[in-house]
Amino acid sequence: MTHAPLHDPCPDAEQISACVDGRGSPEAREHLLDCPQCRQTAEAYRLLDTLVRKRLAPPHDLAQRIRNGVARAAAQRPVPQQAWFLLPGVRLAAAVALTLGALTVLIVALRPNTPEATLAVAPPLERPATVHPPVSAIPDPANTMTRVDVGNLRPARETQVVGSGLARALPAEFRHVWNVEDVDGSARLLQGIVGERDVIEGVEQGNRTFTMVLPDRDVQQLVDRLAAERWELLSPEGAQPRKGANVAFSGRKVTYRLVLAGR
Amino acid sequence: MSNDTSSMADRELIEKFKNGEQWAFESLVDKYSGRAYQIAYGVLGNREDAEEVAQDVFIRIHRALPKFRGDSEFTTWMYRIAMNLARNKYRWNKSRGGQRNVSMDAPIDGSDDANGRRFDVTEPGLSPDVRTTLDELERQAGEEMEKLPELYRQALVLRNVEELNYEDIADLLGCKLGTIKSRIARAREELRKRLAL
Ligand SMILES: [Zn+2]
Repeated sequence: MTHAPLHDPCPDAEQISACVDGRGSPEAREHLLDCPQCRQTAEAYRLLDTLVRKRLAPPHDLAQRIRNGVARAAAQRPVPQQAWFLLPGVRLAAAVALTLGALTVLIVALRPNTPEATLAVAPPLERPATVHPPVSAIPDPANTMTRVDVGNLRPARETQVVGSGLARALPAEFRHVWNVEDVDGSARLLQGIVGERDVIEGVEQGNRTFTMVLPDRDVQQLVDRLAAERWELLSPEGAQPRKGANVAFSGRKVTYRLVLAGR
Repeated sequence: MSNDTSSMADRELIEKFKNGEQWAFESLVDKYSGRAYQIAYGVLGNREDAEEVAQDVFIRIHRALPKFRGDSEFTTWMYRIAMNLARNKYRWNKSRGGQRNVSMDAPIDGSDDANGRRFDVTEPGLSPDVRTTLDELERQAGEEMEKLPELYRQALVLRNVEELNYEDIADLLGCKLGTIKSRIARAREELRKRLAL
C-alpha cells in the first residue's frame, strides 16, 4: 500500500479487511472512498471471498449421501436410542418377553419396526442373540459410508457368547471405558501402540474415544498392554486384562471402542 | 446464529423427529449438511475429510437429538459438534504425518508487492478470456487456500459460511473478536499476495 498524497496514510490490511465486512472504522471507510489503491485491495478481498465460497460449495449430492450414511449407521446400531419400547403394540410384547427373560431376542426381532430402522436404506443388520455376525457385517472404519457409528457401540452383553467354563470368543464389538491419569498423554501412547492401524477418534460426553477394528488376539494384547501401563479398566465386557487364557481366539476382526476418562 | 423464524422451524422439526417422523430429520440434513461440511472444510482444508466429518456430525445428531433439550439453538449445537469432530480429525491426520507446513509468521503487510504485480479485477464473465482467467483464478485460489496456515484458513472459511458473523466465529474458535478480525485479514492478504491480485 502506498501513501496517496491527497489522503491520510493508507489503513492496514486489517482495517481494509474489516471494511469489506462492514466493520471498518469511519476513517478507514472514508479513506477507501478516495484511495483507488486501497479500494483495489478491498475489491481483491471481495473477489477472494467469492472464490472461497465457490470452493466451499458442498458436493451437490452431499445431503443425500449423508442421509444414506446416517441410515446405515442407524441400521448398524443394535439398540435404538429412541424409546421404541413405548411404541404401541410393543409394550405388551416387551412385558411378556421380559417375563420370559428373552429381552435380547425381542430387541433383535423388533428392530425393523424402530423409527431408526424405517430410515434405513440398507437392510438392518439382523443377528441372532448369541451368535456373532459374519466378519463381512462388521463395519469398516476406513470406509466413509459404512463407517461404524463411533458414538454408540453398545455394551457387549447382548452378543457375548455365554460360556460354561469353556474358553469363549470375544464379542464382535465392545466398548471399554479406561480411567487414566493423563488423557492426552494416554491418547498419544495409544496412538503409538496401535500405530498405523485405522483408528477413528471421537468424543463422547467430553471424553476422547478411539474406535478400531483389530483381530481378536490384538485386542487382547492391547488390553493387556494398557493395563500394564497402569490404565484402569472400568468395563467388565469383552477382553479383560491378563484373561487371554479364557478367550477362544480365531483371528476374527473385532470392533473395539475405547473411551478415555480422566481421573 | 440464526433468526427467530428459522430456529422456530428447527424446533418444530426436532419435535416432529422426536415423535417418530423421520422426514423431519432429513429436512435438518438438507438444511444444514452444507454448513457442517463447510465448517469441517475450514478446519481440515480438504473435501474428502470435510464430507466424512459432515456425515459423522449428522450420525451423532441423529443419535442425540431425542435427548436434545433445546437449551441452545440447534445450529449452535450443530456447529460445535462439527467443529469438535473436525478438530479431532485434524489432530488425527496430523498425528499420522499429514500436517501442513506453512509459516504462520510471514509478514503480510503487502508492502512488497504494492506496485506492478497486480492486475485489474475485471467484471466476471464478459469474454471467454476473462472467463478462463477467472476459472483459473478460482482453481488457484482454492489450492492456495488449502495451503494457508490452518488458523487463517479456518477464520476465512468460517467467514464465508452462510450466516456466520465475527461473533459466531469467535465463539466457535474460542478466540477474541480482535483475533478473528486479524486472522481473516491475514488470510485475505496472504491469498491476495499469493495470487498476485
Ligand atoms: Zn489508501
